[in-house]
Amino acid sequence: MKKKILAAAGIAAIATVAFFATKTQASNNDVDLSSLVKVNTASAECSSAHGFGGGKCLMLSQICVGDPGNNECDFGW
Amino acid sequence: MNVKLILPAVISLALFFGCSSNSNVVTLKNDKQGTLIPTVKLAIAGEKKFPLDSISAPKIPYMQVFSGDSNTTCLSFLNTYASAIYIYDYATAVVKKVIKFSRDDKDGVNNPLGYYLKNKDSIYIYNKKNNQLVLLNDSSRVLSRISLINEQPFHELSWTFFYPQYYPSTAAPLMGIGNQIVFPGQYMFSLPDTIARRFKFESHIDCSNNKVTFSRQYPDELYGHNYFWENEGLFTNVYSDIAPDHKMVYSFPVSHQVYLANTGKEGYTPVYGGSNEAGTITSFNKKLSGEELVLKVCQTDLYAAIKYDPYRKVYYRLLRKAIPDATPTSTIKDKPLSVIVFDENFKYMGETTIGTCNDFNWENAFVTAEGLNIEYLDKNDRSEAYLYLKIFKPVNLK
Repeated sequence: MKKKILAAAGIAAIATVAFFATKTQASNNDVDLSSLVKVNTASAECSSAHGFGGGKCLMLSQICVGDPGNNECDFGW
Repeated sequence: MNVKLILPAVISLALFFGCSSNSNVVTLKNDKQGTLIPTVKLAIAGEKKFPLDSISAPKIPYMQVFSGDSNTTCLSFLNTYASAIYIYDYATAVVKKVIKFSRDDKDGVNNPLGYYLKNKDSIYIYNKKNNQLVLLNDSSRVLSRISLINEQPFHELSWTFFYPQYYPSTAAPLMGIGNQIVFPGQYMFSLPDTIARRFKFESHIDCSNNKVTFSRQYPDELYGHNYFWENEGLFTNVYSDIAPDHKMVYSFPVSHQVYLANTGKEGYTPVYGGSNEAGTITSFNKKLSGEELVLKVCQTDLYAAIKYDPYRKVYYRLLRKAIPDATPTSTIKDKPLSVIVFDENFKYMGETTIGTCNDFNWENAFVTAEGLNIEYLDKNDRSEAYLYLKIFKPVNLK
């Protein structure tokens, strides 16, 4: 009985870990911008020339917006 | 087979798959699609070309029309390359003044995105760096810096969960109401419900004491309930204008309704403000790849700016129309651009497709006595010699 309870708890724990590991934050961006973005001109907004980070590059508009934990681009520049 | 062992596993896996997808989807139907009877269309009433100097170019990032000396209508625009605000006489298209400012952190505006010319001595420029409004006088001297994030450290970024970010445009401007500047911003990502319940996207700056307050939440029926609208800023854009009788009108890209509000009071009165041709708009049930997202945006009707015309007592609401047969090679700029016209009580009057988003820089739309001005992107003007405006007026259908 004890083994069965432990096994069930183990399965539940694995499912929970897998769930939180894949749950996306509001700011995740797993898009390869260089291959997918259809823009005519490169936007300086989405560069990381200053090395400050802190930004997410919005693919559709090519602007850099503040996004805690994201360093795709230099936010504020 | 040990059923007592398998059952908890099945339950656990069911919870995993059930919780890991965002199943809260909102479907926004256009109840009046196909039923509206037009009485007007929008016709070209004129055009204006403003000659640009060698360091100015079309696709102006921000413009403001205002009443100058002797009630002359003036057109101003921001030239970030020149670090200047150019002011033209709207009627004659002659440059009247160029206000240069420093880009220095200490005595200037490092990353200007928009501005509000309150009067000759008071120029408020929005500085993306530090998310602040910088007040300059007529000599471009910085008089004060007004934090729009309650003086929180800019680069620590936790303020982004509590205060708006701003990407002003001519069609989504800083506005003056009384002695306040009203500056709608936005939340740049899809709003978790916990944020939707408290986030206020509009800042109010009291010009007498530089005090900043915030108002206006996103309508819960559009953006609450963890509805997922992708994290691209486009779906949470806010467009607004000052309306008669101490009101404001708000247009959200995903809603066939517009939202009326009393200035100085929270809450909205939604009224129908949709297109006769727009279809259902649905939030997303999962994150899309870049290609899927561009295709989806091309295939979806998305509303844009709203402008009140006090001269003709009508509203213009812009719509980026869906391309039903969009393909992976379609771009968002290929979307047709429509202007929907409503009377001052939001009774539908008609709508006209004026071109595509390739033809018009609709973010530069404003109203003058002449009509609705929208920047036209002239492909023949290869030397970028002019700011080209086409001016539209509603005319009765025969």
